[in-house]
Amino acid sequence: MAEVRLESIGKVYPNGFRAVSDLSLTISDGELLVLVGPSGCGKSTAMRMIAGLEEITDGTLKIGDKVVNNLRPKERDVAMVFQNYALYPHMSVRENIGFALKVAKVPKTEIAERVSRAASVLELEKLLDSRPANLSGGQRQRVAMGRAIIRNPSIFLLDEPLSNLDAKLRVKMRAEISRIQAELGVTTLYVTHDQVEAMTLGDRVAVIRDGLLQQVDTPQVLYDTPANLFVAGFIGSPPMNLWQAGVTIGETTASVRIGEQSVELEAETVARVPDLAEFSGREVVIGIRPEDLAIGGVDNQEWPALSATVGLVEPLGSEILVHFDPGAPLAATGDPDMEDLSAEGDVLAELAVAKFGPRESFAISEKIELRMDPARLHFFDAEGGNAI
Amino acid sequence: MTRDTFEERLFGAVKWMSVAFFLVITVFPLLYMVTLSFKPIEEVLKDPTDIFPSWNQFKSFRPYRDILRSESDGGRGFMKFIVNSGIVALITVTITVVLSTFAAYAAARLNFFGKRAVSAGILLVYMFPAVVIAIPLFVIFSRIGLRDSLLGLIIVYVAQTVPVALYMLRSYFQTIPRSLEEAGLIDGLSQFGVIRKITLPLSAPAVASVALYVFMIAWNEFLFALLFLLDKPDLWTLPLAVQQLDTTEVPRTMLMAGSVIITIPVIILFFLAERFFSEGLTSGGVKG
Repeated sequence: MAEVRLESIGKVYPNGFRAVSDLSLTISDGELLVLVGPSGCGKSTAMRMIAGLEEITDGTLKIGDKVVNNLRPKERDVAMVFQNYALYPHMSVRENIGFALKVAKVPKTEIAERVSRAASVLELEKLLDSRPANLSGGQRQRVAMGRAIIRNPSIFLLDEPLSNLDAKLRVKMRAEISRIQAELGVTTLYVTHDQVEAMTLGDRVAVIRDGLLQQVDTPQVLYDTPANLFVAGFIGSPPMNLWQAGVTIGETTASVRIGEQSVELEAETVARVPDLAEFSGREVVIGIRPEDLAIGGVDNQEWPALSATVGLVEPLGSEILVHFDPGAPLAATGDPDMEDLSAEGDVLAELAVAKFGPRESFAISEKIELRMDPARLHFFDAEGGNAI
Repeated sequence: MTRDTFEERLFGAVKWMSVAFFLVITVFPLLYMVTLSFKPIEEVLKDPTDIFPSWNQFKSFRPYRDILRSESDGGRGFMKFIVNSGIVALITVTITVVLSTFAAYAAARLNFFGKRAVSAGILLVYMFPAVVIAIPLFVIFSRIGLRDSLLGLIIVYVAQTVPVALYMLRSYFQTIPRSLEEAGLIDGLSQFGVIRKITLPLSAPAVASVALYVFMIAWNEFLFALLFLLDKPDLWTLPLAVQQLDTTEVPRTMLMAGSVIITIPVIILFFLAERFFSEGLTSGGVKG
């Protein structure tokens, strides 16, 4: 058990590519911290530097009180689960799980005992003599977990461990990992590009983009008060609706212009975000989450209104997702994966989305009036993307 | 008949015809070689259809006993040549496999100055025909006193086989997922331990085929053996010894018996190693 401390860690590859910059992060003893970000953002590189598989070019890495920058992987006492599992194909499940102990010259009887204990935690007892080639994806994943937990390491490193599983199994293994981690209380770093995984698993979540740390906090804080445009767009599914908007703040009235529409802001909103006044007459990005939009009605008459055209309706049973166009394009957040989608002409990537109860009904091309919960409006600087 | 069944039958027929064709052109000469090692050539010429030796000819095993017996016993001393060839081939295989394994691993995995030049240059050595370097080597080896020795021959064979062995092994190492080796590092192995416990066991098929290839070269090589060892009948290897049987004074059966003796070990080794070639060892380790 140990605390992991990254102090201004950086990684520059010999070809000059900077994968990670100035990353400072502390993973507390026993905590599960999730490192999340789009593909190619440097999160895996960061993990591999902690594992000792990648040389650290800047900064200091401490495990406990010890600086481990130049220690080899075996001297760092870390266990890692690889995205592709990396099971030894020439060994049985039993040998795979017990391999680290065998290398460490643990007595045979103790290895056998610990392997069978790990196998029972992971329900692998019947498969101990199989070869990895004969296992299903989920079983291989559990063997990979077994190989990590048997060692009682100071740190677990999990590199997208669920990305090769089908959706159902992923949910099950997600719960499993959460349970095992809580049970063992091992300091854990979990890397993923899936923000749902990040939200459900993490004690805290660190969002990273282009090698730079964006925000690190508990999942709920990230969701409620994203530090910048990128985090706002990345955390949450469906994502937050973000539009370019011009702000006008007068003595008594305040409004934002979304596309052709002028949306009145209440005095309370302006009071809640005092810094907004500085942006009067300039462009900001206004954001609201799909569930913070409502259909116009008696109980929300005071809320700012937005008229829109329904583009697509997705009834999910428990709720309805309405994709709509308020006459303004969505603001870019800098998430390369989302940009790929809209470059491919994905219609959904162009539309905003609202979430309603299942008993509402909508027709495509219908004009609707939406109300925005004023307490849940987010404002971002259009230039730097930072929250206002 | 649908197009599918037509194609299926056509390919089925073509498959068996090609199998039969290759069987005839490989097995037939082999069979003749064995027959002629028991049965005098005059008898075969009289009746070419009768290709099997009589039971008495077979039972006596005479050509083989004659050829294997030592010269002082009135034989041809082939036991000695088998030992010579065995020594040369086994030492060559050992040195080449060890050397090229480490070199191939370095070329495939490690970063060092001049890596690209080394990778590109590996096969360059192989582009000089043996005949071109034979005479200069003969001169050099004569000067430094390595000519009349098995050691000299081993050096040449190693130099000849390392490039291809290195190239084959390097290509194979590159197919082994890097994450398997990283998992080994995390599990507490040193870099050397990773090679020994993970990379090499997974490379067994490649190492086996490389070893077999090197063995065949060293076992069958004739040109350098002739150049280096002709004056020293004690040191002859099998190909050279068999070639020396090719005179009118020696019965054909003996020449053929020598050919059989030189062929059999390679066939046996091939069947022993076959198991490795057909097994896909790396399957199932990684996904994605």
